[in-house]
Amino acid sequence: MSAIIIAVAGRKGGVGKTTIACGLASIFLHRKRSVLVVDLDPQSNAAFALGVDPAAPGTAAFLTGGATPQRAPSGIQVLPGGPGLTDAKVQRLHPEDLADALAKIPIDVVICDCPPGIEYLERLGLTASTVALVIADAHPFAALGAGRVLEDLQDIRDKSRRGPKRWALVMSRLDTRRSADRRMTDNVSDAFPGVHRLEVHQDVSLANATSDQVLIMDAAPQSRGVQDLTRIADWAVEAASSRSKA
Amino acid sequence: MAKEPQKGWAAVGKATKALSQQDQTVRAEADRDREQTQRGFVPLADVRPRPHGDSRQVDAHHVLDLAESVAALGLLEPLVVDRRLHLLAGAHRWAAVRLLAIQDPGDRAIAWGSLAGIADLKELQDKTLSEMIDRVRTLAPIAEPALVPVRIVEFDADADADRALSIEVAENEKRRDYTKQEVTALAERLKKAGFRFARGKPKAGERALGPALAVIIGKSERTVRRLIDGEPHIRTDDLISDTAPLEGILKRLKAILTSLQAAAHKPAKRQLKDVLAHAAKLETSIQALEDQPQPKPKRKAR
Repeated sequence: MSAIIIAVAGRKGGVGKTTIACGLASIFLHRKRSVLVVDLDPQSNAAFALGVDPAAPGTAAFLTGGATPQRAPSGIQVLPGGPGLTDAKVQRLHPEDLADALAKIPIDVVICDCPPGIEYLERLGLTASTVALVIADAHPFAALGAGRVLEDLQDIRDKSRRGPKRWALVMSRLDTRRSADRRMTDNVSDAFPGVHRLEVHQDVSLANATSDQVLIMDAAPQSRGVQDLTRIADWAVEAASSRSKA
Repeated sequence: MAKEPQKGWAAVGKATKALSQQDQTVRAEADRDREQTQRGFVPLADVRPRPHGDSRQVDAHHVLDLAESVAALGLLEPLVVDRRLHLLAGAHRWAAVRLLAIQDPGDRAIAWGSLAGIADLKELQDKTLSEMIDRVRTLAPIAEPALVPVRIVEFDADADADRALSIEVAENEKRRDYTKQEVTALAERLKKAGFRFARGKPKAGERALGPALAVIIGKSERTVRRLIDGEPHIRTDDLISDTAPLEGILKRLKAILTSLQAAAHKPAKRQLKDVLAHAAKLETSIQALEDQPQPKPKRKAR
């Protein structure tokens, strides 16, 4: 299987990007793939969730000075995020610099956890990706953020720039007890017609895994969260290997 | 039959498009700046002055401080030049490097003297200036031919004076935010190069670390000290910035005025408390302003 690079983006904070990114990492590890998680967030939460020192040299150093990934106890490789990502040097990078740097690393699956709100960091992740997951929960704020990311992706495609060939919107934290969540599918298909939709339901095991710094496949392999993420992992693999743009 | 979109969601499409267009504009600007800017090294002798002349006098004392730190650490911030190597930003740094490129101490002293507006070095009475001349003499020169790091912006300042000016202003406003780690690391490098923290005047042969560090970082010595002594997560911009005290004072004065006006209409103990609270903050702001280094007196040209 050739390298697949998944960008997990969404612009809005708190919709579940890091949780989903770490969950996917766990699933691919369970499938015996080599996995690298690139934490593009100055908050460095993905590094924390995966049991790696969030302040260790990470993505910023990787991009500007050739640092190498940390190895989590599970075997997942991690490039932590951290405040270094807001450095002027990183802001001045070309959007394709992450893509170029990753091309030199032999790894099966790369997952880029993009930060909320910081467009130039998100762009590094999207440009490097072969498939992109745009995460949104049921609040219109999340839809606004997702919409901007989707517009950017379309812009990248229209201008034939480097970027993912396929993307999907992930409706996250779905809890059908909430009326907004029940209507989310309709709202999303109206707002973003033609965009492929995936789902992750509200599942406390997913959140517990990241806070306990354990992998979801170790903590709750039978959970609904894992079922949802498994479908997403399968979609990502299929989309990455497809030729056509959807 | 299409259902009516849920409240809030109806506005999502329009807002998304509007914000997204701004995203594209911002991105296009960043792309343009990045594509039009190259970094490199050029011979010092090839850098040329601004085509329309310098709008400001260089501060000779600042140039000396810079020269000392450049001698120890190298030029950390590149000079900004146009495609024909006309200087766009970095006049003081350029002057500092040119000073360091003068190999003979006597010639260097004369060159600095003319920057400082001193007509005749031999007639110098002022002790402070004499000491500064000594510091100029004892600078370690950089080897010729000197190369300087530059950032080349792909346009012609001759043809576009407005853009040249806006770059100069933007560069001067750009405030680099240092972490405690970075400041401490710089301090260590300066110490290795012979700089020392000194109460009062440094001994002969030593150079003062506090002022050198402050010059590099662009903050007052007090702020730098607080950063080094402070919590690891503090960055320089968390501490008082150079202009914040003045803005803070204005805000406090406005707040006091508002409180007094409110008290005039509705006299109550609470109004007075507000005024006193604002006055206390005003005091703090003024104190911070007083703690900043005073501008060095310039020697008038004869």
